[in-house]
Amino acid sequence: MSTIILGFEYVFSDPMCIALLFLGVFVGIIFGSIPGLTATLGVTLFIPFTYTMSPIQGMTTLIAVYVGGISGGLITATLINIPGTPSSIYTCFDGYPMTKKGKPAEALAIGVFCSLIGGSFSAFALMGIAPQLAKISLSFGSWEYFAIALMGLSVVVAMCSKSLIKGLIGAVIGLILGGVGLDAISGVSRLTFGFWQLQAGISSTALMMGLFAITEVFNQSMELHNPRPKIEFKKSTLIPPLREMKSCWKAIGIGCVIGTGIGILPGIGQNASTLISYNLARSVSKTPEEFGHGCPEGISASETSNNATNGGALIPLVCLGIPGDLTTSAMIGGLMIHGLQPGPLLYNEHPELVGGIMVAYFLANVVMYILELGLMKAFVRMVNVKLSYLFPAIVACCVLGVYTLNNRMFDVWVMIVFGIIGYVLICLGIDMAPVILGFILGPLIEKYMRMSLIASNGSWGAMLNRPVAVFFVVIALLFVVVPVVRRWIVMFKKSK
Amino acid sequence: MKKVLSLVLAALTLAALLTGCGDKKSEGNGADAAAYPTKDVQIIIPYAPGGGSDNLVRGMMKYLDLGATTVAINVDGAAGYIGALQGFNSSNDGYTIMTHNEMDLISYSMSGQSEVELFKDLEYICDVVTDYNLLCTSPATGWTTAQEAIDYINANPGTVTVGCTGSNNVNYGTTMELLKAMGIYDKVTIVPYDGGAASETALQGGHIQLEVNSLADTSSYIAAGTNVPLLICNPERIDAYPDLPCTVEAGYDVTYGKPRGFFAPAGTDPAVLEYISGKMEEVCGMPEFQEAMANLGFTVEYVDGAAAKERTIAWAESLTPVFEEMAQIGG
Repeated sequence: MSTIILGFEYVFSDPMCIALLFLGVFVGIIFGSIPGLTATLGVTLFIPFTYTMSPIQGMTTLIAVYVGGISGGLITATLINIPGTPSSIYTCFDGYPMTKKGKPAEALAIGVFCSLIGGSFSAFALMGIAPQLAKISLSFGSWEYFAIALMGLSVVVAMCSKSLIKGLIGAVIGLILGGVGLDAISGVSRLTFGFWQLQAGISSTALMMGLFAITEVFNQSMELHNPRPKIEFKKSTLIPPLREMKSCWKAIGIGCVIGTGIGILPGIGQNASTLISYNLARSVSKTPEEFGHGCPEGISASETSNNATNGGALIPLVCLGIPGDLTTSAMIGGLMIHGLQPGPLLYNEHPELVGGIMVAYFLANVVMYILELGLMKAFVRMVNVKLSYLFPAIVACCVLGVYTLNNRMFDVWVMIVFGIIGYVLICLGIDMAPVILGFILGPLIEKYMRMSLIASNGSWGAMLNRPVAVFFVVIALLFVVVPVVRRWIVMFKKSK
Repeated sequence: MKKVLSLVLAALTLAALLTGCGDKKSEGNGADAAAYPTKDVQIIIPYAPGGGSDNLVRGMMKYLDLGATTVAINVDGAAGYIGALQGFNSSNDGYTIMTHNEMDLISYSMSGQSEVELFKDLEYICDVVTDYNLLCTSPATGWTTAQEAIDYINANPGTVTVGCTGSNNVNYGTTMELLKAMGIYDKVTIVPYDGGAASETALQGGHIQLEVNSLADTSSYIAAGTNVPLLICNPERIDAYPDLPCTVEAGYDVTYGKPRGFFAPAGTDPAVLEYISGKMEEVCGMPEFQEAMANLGFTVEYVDGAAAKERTIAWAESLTPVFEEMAQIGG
């Protein structure tokens, strides 16, 4: 507790910190809400600036940019069906249909409010039980990671409610795309077709911006000649529409727990946490058929979990010095450049800094909520801006963002190629969701499965010694079997 | 409204065009060494922002005065390989240089990943810092010396797993050679992790009992007492850890370190290389820079380009049989 008090003192004693908090969140929201300019890019571009700041100022800035960026992605996802940042892909599925129904303000309000809940939940976990959670994260070995990723993939069956075959085709395409690049263990190049640029695999930002932003631009451009129905909406509500959210508490709970839980496991990431939460929320929902058609539950699950993951990822960072994702590894760099050793000792030697990081994270969430509510009136107008103005700007931003992330033109071509492939897939009736599922989870499953098997000398039986892994594998099996059995029962009843 | 939008659009398109075309330089070897530098010098960092290489370059840039602005460019991917090739394929006009480490460059070529022999074909500017490989355990095992670990493993063969960073590279080769020298290679399982941090996390969680990892990735855990170093791969003990035995005194002739330096595309004007290395040597002599590097777990050790290249080629030769063996077990 004293850590937190020290943290509050530390952050508030420096007025620059508070100013940077607002600036960072604002910049983050801008980066997050412009497709192509992702939250990760925002953080990457800000890292060099933090080197000249004091440690706590630097940390505050990076946290603020990231929190703003991850949350800001929901704006374009909801209003024009293009995720501003990859982790809000799943927000599109329900946010945009809600907008089409004339409820853009409500959809945004739900998304922003859930971002706050998810962020605050993980902030309290961070402030309250970080050391305990860090211990749990250490106890997870490669079998557990494998089992969790497998569980994520198993929801594909439940996900493909419309057509199982087309869903599976999508998932297999995703798995193949995820396999591109250098095989980390044997060193063989897979599916690179002679392009050395592909040895690191397909850049996930380029792929996702291609499949979601460019494809969507193609798709909606087909309708440009038709007069676009003006979406009428009521005055923007500043308070969250609690009535619409009555059914959402389960989804919010899932988002909070899964988001924070995945966050503390280094290397799994926001995108996986969002897709697992979304699909889990659908499986336990009373009205799973409404998911994908403007269901507030979908927005809640997606937006709570992606923000909760931020706070989760800070837990191994402050307790153990282990980076969970790009932002946290950047923060480690930021600490080291100031001569601070991130590691188990940081907690004891610099409690004010650890507390400061926790407090800054919590405050960033609050600032994010305030700023987004304030900006919402401006955002919501975007829904009726002429698409012929909007699309060229979006494409330009995508090119700029994808180029800048790794400073190479190759990724831009990757994005364009996948924009075209995505459009073809849409024409064939194949959903993007299973493609992304396969792309994100396939490599994780492969990596951890092979590492586990190397460590156990090829014996699958070794998994039985890991109860947590077995638990997740059983859940995965249930996800695959239950929908199939249900279908059989329905068919059996009909045949009677 | 319309006007503003079209202005924004025009600006963005222009920006996209400018950045998009910026990297297509084809001036070749025409730079005039006497006038160098006349424009910004780009430094490619083949890893993500915030990593060891990134911090090294930013630390260097803080003190380096080339007479022109230096611009850091992160090109991450495939454990530094993407950036290495991007650097290799850049224009050799002296305005694009790259940071990298020799052991990874050797790995790319000798594992068959790269068609070009990067470690022979790149121009060496100089090495500036070095990092060391350590054999470590966690306090949970109770071992405090390498001999205790060897005794346990000999008594309980097949029960111990050893983490290392990557496979089919010099790190794996070093691990393999060290374990062989210790006589326990056949009695343990080596698990490759995709980074020093991942290996350290596994050690902390008790998923592996030993690891061969870099000093930079382990120093904060050693300070906290949650990582127990047993040996350092070096011909002698180092000043920062005077009590830590080195491999050679223990009778194991495995001494591969992890130097890091700066490189330029093949054919860069030697006068330019000399100019840059001279400036970097000055920085290496500054106590502020040495302290900043010590905080990162690096030891400043300036080695000029020619000497760096010579020792790298010698390392590569001695590693040839190791890579052949790895190709057999990996295949």
